[in-house]
Amino acid sequence: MDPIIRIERLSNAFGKKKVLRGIDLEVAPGQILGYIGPNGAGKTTTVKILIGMLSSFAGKVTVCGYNVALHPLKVKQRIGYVPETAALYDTLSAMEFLLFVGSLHGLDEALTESRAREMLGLLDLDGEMDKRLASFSKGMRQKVLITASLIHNPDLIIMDEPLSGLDANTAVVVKEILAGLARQGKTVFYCSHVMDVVERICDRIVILSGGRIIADGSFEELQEMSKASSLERLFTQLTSEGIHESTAARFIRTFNGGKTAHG
Amino acid sequence: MVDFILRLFDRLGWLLTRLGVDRQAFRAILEVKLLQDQRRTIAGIQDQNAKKKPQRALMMSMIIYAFVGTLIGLIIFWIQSPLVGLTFVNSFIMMMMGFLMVADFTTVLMDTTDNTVILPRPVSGRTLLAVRTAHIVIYLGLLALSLSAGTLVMGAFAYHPLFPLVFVATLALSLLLVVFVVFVFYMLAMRIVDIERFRDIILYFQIFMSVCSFGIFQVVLRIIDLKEAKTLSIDDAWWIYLFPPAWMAGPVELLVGNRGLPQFILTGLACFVPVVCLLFVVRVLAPGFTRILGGMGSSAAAQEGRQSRGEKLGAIARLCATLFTRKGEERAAFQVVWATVARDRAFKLATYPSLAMVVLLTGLMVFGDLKDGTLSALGDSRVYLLNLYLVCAVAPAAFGQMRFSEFHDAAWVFYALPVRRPGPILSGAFKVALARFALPLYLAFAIFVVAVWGPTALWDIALVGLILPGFLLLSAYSLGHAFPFSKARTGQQSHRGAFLLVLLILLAGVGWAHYGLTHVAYGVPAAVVIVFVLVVYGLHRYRSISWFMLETD
Repeated sequence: MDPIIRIERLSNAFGKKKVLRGIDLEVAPGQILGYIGPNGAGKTTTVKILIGMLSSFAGKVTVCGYNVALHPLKVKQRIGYVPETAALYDTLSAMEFLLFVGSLHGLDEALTESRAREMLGLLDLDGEMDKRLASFSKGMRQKVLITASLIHNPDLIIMDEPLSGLDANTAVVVKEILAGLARQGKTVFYCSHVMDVVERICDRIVILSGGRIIADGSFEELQEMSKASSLERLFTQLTSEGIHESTAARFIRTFNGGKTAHG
Repeated sequence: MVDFILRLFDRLGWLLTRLGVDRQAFRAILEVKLLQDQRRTIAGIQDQNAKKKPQRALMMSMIIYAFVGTLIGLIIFWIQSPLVGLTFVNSFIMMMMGFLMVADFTTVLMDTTDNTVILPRPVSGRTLLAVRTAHIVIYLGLLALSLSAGTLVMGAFAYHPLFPLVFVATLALSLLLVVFVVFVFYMLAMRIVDIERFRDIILYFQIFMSVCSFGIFQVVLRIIDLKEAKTLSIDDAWWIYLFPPAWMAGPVELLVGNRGLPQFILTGLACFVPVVCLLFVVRVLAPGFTRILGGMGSSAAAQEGRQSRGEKLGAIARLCATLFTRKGEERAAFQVVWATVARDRAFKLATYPSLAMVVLLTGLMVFGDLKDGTLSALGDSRVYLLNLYLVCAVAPAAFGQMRFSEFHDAAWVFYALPVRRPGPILSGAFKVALARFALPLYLAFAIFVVAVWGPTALWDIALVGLILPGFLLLSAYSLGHAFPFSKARTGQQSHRGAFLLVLLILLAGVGWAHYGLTHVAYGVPAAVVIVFVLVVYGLHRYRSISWFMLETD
């Protein structure tokens, strides 16, 4: 089957700083891919390029069969995206916002409304969907964002920390939704810093560091390679030099050693 | 209201389709934008379903513009030739539109705050640009209509019963022209320079344009001798073909029966140039629009593009902080606000054009009176009083902007930290407006005034120096209290132009009162003492503003 994402020799830079240094990656439909890496590794930049938001890059990126640089609209039509930090139109109600998103995708209003009503209802927002987003808590906003990313039934779902702010029950539901969609042949591109979630739900893990891919495989494969017991340990082994304990101790010692009078 | 506007644009559907705009997306985004504008002005989360209050700020500006526009429009009764009269009125209207476009609506055009909402969706650059244009044109159109309301009515009597129809049409064409000239510049600049430099270029362009538009109008005012203008004819002047306000007078000339070749050429220019501009922007420039926004919104690009030098407050800032503020919250706020106004581009964009305008007006007042002579002739008049008072407009103009920020959410710190009362923080920002914006200008003018008029002016300068914070206090109370950088800029903050006009008119009044005082023995020194006491008391009150007095949002 044709890969849904094909990245060839992708690199990009902001000014003099290189963010991505030659990435090659192919993702097959039906995969849940965990895309992880330390802060500043280039995860968000990769995502922005994948969804056609950022066009200044070198290399070739094909998503859903279209070259992103040439046909960004075709790509955008077929992906769903949950950004890490998203703005919402606070003065709109959740339903109005979803209707808006639906019409940007060219969906029929009645269809969007019935889908939105059902989806929000399943995520326990029955009574809230006509209230303004300004009054929503972090978790409720996240539910709206997730619904907005799925409402047009995309083939590729790209999520950046989608579970942040969600309560444990909803997080379980969302994880189940992703697994179910993957079984139907949809692809999930999952960016996160929460290692145990990635370890559990992703059937393939890509670790990015310094703009390069430094590991790629299923958790079991990566485990064999490094003999680490968990993804978290494996991650720290690969991306730092295991100095965490002493860093933490020194951090706490600043209270005593520092010059400030506050205790 | 929103429905009405949307239906109006539905009528233009064929045009949008022809221009390659996705009509469904266009309608959806425009509707959401207008709804947001409408709701933002309705206060409070708690009364969501309360009745819609009128959009007061917008209404106020419209009333003020209508008033000023009517005053300007009166001239058509005086000047016989419609071409001359309307060229004059049109240059005023186009100047105001140009100023509003660059000063107020550039933020609407270049808005990157909803990048994460719009850009991941399949919306083309053309469509997005069309929506932004429509959004701007709606407000700009309302303001243009209020500016010309007086002329519409008066022209019907002065020229022809059908004049209002023709004038509205030329008004629409002027609007298109102004909007698209600005667009063309932006889009071309974006293509030529990289994004980081582009932000700076916009800033300089805005200042340049605002200065230009007011400058040109001032020059026109001064050159035209009202007595000559009564019978002046410019039909055979070559420059009218290069001067858009004159083009827009062409159709009216045809209406009243002056059907010569120049009139036809002007009418032709009026009709075709805006349309050509429109096509050029849509066909050639619009497609890359979303990418540009994507690049502008990327925080990484913003940070990395500019090699961030270790940012520290300069010596002047630290000196001002120790001189003007008390240790603690007030000084901390002073330093943060000082640093932010120096670095926040959105603030500069919103403020500097107004500042440039004040400086320019002041310069014109001083040197405009040099027509017949020398500085010594100037020394005999007391014109410096008015100039000094213009300087007082600077601080309120800057202070009024300090409450707004793209990152207004960051104001949570004020609520999270153990702040006993907001007064000291507000007063910190207040003092930045004085120290950073008013003080340098005030000192410059003070030195100039003493150099020309001698030490007798010192009492006057002292009085102005006290009126300066006093006037800022007045405007601070009338604006309502809000933490610095805690409010979102909205699409309709177009009351700024009106705010400035009112400020200048008020200040002129204070200036004349001061002038009156100079004829009373010891009038000015006595005023200095009284105002000093009032200002000290006022500042004290301001510093103790409590939580209850903050504007709720």
